[in-house]
Amino acid sequence: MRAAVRLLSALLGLLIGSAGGLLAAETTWHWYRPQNAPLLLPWPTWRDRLNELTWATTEVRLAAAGVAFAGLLILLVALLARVRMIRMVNPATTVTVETTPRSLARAVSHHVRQQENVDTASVTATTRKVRIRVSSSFAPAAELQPQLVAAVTDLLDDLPLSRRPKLSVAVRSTRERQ
Amino acid sequence: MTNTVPKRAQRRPYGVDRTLTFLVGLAVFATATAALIVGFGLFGQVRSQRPLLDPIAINWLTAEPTVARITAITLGVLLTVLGLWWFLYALLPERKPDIDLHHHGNGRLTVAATAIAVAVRADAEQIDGVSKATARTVGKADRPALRLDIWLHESADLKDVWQQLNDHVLSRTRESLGIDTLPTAVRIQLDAPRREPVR
Repeated sequence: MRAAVRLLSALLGLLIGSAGGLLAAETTWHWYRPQNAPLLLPWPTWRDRLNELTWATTEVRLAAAGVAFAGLLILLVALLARVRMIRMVNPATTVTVETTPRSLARAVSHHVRQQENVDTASVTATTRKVRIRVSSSFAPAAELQPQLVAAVTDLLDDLPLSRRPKLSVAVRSTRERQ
Repeated sequence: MTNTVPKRAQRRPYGVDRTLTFLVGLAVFATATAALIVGFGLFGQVRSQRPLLDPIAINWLTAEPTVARITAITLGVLLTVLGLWWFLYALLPERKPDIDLHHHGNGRLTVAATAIAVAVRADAEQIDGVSKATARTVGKADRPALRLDIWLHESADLKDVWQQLNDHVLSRTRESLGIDTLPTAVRIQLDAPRREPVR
């Protein structure tokens, strides 16, 4: 998302810059050579068209709705483009250490899969929470769940995270259903 | 523990991009919504039936042509400058400063950014458990900082790597550069997939 906001930002900058340049050029040209206007853009045609349209015209409403939607998308991209790194304890005042949520999830997931009786595991991690979903066909959920909590707690204890994320482990066991 | 590592070291700053994009999005959305409201007659049926090119505004512009023209040209030039600056800001790569070591009289010694990057990277990759490392300098030459990305193996012991990183790599870099402090942001990728040997 950060790359997206940078690209979008560059594009908007380019658009605004060109719009400004054209505005200045057309105005200046029209001032000095009114008879030779327009310079690049057919703005007199646009002016006449804008004079015919009213705010209540269907195409104006549709265009406004489309532009509003585009504005919302731009807002969304800007709002979502946030870095959420997981901070670790700093070894010195001149050093900061952090890791990505994805890499923490990968480490936890790997650890969980190495435990006994785990068939599949999916892990999502944020700065606040590590959520683990496991399926097992051998051990009942009530038995496996506390084991996994203990195992992952050990792993998280080993990582010098500056803020311990909460842990949630859900086990789905196919054995109980039989 | 308060730390003195500039935000710039941790990642390329993106606040300006994000703020400007947000403001443009907001302006676009607000304008279009206002147009919709007018179009559906919520400000009165009379207003919604008026042409987009508002007669009152046109009358004012034709009554004061010089003011209108100068305003339009000034606005256009300002927007061009802003737009170009913005475009370049978003797309130009980050600077990698060379580091100034000494200023003795007329003499001046700098270490090239790439030399530092290569040295730190080689040192970091020596650590047991590190599969890959990249380093680069950021900031200004008189106040440099280091950004270090490290990929760890699955089996790596993070605490061990950490200790070695601090005791050997970073302190050695500071020593060899002859500076007391070098703010460093380390970004660790845990459990990086092992690089398969090419057969």
